[in-house]
Amino acid sequence: MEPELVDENGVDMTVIRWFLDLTIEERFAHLDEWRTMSAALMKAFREQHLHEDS
Amino acid sequence: MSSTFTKTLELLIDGGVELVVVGMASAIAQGAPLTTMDLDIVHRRTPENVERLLKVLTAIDAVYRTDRRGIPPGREALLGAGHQLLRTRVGIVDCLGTMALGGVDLGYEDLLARSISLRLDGREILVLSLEAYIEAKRGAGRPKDLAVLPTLEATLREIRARGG
Repeated sequence: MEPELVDENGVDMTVIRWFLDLTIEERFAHLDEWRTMSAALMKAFREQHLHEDS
Repeated sequence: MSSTFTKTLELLIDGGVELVVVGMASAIAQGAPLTTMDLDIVHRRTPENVERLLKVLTAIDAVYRTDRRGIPPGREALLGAGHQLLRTRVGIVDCLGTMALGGVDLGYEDLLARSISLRLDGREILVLSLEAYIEAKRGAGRPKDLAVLPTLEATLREIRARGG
């Protein structure tokens, strides 16, 4: 039987399997990447709104 | 290069601090593909352990993040059951005296039976089991807790399917 790609709640099982295959150190490293990306997005959002307000 | 959480945990473990990693970081460590900004720990509240924790927190410039005055955590506060919400130069660290699970507040000793041991960069760390974290999230019952349940449960299912 083929492994399920998306479960009954809509969770992407390929992402679950990919993350489970990483080491703990790699999992935590992804958090840092997410934080950096998130901070860049927030900065861009603020700058855009400052620009629109001026 | 070590990540923020790895670095922080290494400092705590190398400093001899007895702790259980709880919160989202515990689930991420076990393989749940989720995100968080803060590292939540429940530390053992003996005077000796609090002294060790305080030493590490001082070394990483920990101060209360909810107070603009830059106040560092004190010994008495860390000996108590409350939550010390801190920011440090290596990231956000919340030191919890207890955490709610199954309708009761549990301390370090209580959580040992609900924790598993993992290896992080050659060091042993205790983390709250995924089963217990799911129980805590379900018990908390806020929209933000319930929103992550499908991902946590799918992760647990996959771990079990792999024989874990």
